[in-house]
Amino acid sequence: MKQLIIEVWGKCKFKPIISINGHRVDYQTLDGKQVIYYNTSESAVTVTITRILEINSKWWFPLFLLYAIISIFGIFDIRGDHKYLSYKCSFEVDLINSKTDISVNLFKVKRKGQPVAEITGKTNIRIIENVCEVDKKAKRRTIILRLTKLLLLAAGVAILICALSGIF
Amino acid sequence: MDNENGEVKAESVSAPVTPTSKDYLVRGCTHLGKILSNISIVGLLLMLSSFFLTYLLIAAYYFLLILGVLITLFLILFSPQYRAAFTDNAFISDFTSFISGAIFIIGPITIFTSVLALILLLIDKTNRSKGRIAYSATVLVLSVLALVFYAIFHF
Repeated sequence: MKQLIIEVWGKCKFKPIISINGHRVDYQTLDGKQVIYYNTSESAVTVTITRILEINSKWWFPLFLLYAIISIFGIFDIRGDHKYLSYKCSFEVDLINSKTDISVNLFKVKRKGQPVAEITGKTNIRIIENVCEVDKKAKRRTIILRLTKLLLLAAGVAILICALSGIF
Repeated sequence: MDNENGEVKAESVSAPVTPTSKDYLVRGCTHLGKILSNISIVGLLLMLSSFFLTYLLIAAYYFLLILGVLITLFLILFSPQYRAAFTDNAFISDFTSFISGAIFIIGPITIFTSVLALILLLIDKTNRSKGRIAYSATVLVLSVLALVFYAIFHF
């Protein structure tokens, strides 16, 4: 039996889903670090990194509308979260020894085409794909959301003006 | 994996895993927690600024009066308006009562939002937002202390 230990770190806000040979693996905390342990008898495994895009959830519209209302039209919302960029990252790792350590440094997602992560380790690592790409469904939803926020803001301003001028 | 079968296998195992509804729920909680954390920080700033503003205004008021005393020392002794300005502080008391009313509204909102933010941020165990948790805890402690001190001094 061989063990693969993946240390996941970096500047990304939310840890992505990591699957090994198509099976999802859970993170464990070791000395404040997020580590994944995977035991296998195989000599090589394929690791895939998937980003959770909140906007692709089932209840995305009411949820984001709620965020917009609570955060007062997005004033108090969190910044720099590129909602529509997904990860396309997978790589193969050779398990030569009984214990193989690799380190995954996740970058902050800023634009499409940038690498998702830097994978290092004292073993053979073959990168299959490692790039950020635009999720079309998420981008379409982001545009709808922006338009809705603008409409909400316009409605809010109109109500405020009417209330101040004494129409109501 | 050089052969054709190997390539097929590599492609099938590298297919992305679909996030579950639990993943989305946890993400939603964290997102909401961060928004509430931002609101609580602004609430605390408002509380503290109004807290200091009261005393700053009083200090500025008396500073201007003392300046007036220094400049027109002669007038202050004989002019009844200046004497009245020292004794009549209705404006200050009005302002203080307005500020205290605002603090007693903003304070509980800040405490509530910071507690809610802490709870929501602690739900996500993988992406422990340590910085945010620290911010919210600090805001909670400071807002409780500010509210208690203000209540002690006010009543």
